Parts: sequence; structure tokens; C-alpha cells
Amino acid sequence: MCAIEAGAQRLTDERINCIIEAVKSTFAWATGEEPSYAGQQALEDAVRCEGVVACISLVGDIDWSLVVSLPQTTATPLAAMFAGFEVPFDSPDMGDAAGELANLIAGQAKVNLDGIGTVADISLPQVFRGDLIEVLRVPNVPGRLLRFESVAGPFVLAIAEGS
Amino acid sequence: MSTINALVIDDSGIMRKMIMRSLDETGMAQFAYTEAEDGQDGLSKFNPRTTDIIFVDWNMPNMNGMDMVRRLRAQHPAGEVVIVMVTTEKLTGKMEEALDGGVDSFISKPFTPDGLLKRVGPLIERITERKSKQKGGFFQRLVS
Repeated sequence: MCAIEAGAQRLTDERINCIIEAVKSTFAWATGEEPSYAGQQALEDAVRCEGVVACISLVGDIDWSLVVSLPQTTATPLAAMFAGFEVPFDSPDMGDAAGELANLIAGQAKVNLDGIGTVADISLPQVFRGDLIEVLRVPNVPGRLLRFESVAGPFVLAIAEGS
Repeated sequence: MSTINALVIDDSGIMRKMIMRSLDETGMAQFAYTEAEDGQDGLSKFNPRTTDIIFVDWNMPNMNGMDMVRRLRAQHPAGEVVIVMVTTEKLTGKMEEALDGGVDSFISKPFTPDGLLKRVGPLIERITERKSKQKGGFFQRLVS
């Protein structure tokens, strides 16, 4: 079996749903309102974002990188709702907020995945901020791009095989 | 109201602020805080004479929370200082590992002030009681 087929088998709907539910519950806690899931597509290109990108890995039965991309217009109100105080986009607190958000999503995803028999540990998050961040996709490695609409604004989460 | 000296250890500055704000919002005590960024920093800022309670994250760079707890408990057994693990880890096995390692209680992130109060309230009461007894004993010795 080639790598792409093996990867695609790990990216099952049931497992992806664990991530979607983790995003929903984390954002519901952070903003007081559950975000709506706006669909998914194959990850065919780099993830591009003008704002903040937080990456975290789930490693075990699966090897996934979760890439949470928050446009600046979403990141600023979201961080304020999450923290309970204003978080300027250029402040160190913004990196902390995005990293912690990714950490919370991964932590809940770990619990959800464990519930369907998929065991994985989570890494520490890495956060990037900039005018144009491109998280490049490794060729021939499967991934999914999940779109959400939250009360703070739209955002995407990419799941990429290989961490 | 006596002051509770809390050591808050988390690599996320925003999470430290959220823990401190949530503790203040519970109104169960007056807190004085010391902040640390990882387990190593936490060990260096821990003061056995003054620290009453430690809130520590599990997943941190340099030295994680569980390693810090094991090192601290090797010298300061349960009863001397209260340790609360605040973490995204929610699985039963992980909680058991933390409790076996010397943690007194466990709070899963994300948490609410109500959830925090439920978990930490009895521990704070215990500390407050111990401190008032110590204070009473001191004045009694002073009078006699």
C-alpha cells in the first residue's frame, strides 16, 4: 500500500468528526457560542493566513498536524473573548492565546479520539504571526481543510498527515 | 481574611492570568501570586515557608509539570503544600498518574470559575484553617 492510501485511511470521517467536535466545544467555551462548521475540502495547497497560525501535533495511532489559522480580524476579538481582556494583535499575549486555543482543541480532540479507540499524545503548540503566513503542504500527503464561522469571525483548521 | 500564597506555573502567560483572575473571582480567599514559566522556574520560585498552593500545567517546555511535582514531592510530602494540576489532559489514566505522583487535585482546561471553585474550594478551606491555627498558636505562645 502506498503512503497516500495509508494516510487517507487514517483520515476517516469518524476521526475528523472528533476534531470538528473539539473545535466546537473549545470555541463554545471561549466565546460563549458554538461555531458553525462550514464544510471541508481536500488540503491541496498551502494554508495561507494574514494573522495568526497555531500548529500542534497529535502523535500515536495517527500522526497529524493540526493547523489553526485565524485571520487578524478574527484573532483579535477571539483572543479578547477567550482571555476576558483586550489582547492587542502585536502583543505576546496574542501568541499565548492562539497557542492555548490550539492546545485546548488538541486536548479535547485527544479525548474524543480516545473514545473511538484512537490513542494519541499531543505536542506543545507552535505559533506564527504575520502579514502572509504560508504553511506549505508536503506533496502527496493527504490532508483536510475544515472551515468554521464563529462569533469572532471565520477561521480554518487544516489536518495534515505527518507531524 | 488571611492571604493564600499561590504559585502559578504555566508556559502560557495568558493562561496564568486566566487562572489568577478566576481564583480572584471565586472570592473564597485573598491571593498573593508568584508566576513561573515552566517546571524548572517553578521549582526555583517555590518557597517552602510561604507557598501555600501550587497551580501547575502538565505540558510545558524545559521541565513538564509532572516531573516538577515528583521532584518537589520527594522533598515536600503531601500536607506541606497543596498541588493542583491544571491541564488539557482529561483521560482517567493521566489523572491517576498525576494523583499517584503527588498531585492533590486536578482541573481540566478549559475550566470555569464555578468548576475551579468546586475543585479548589475544599483545599483553600483546608489551607485557611491551617493558617488560622498557626496564627492562633503564635498568639497563644506570645501571651503565655
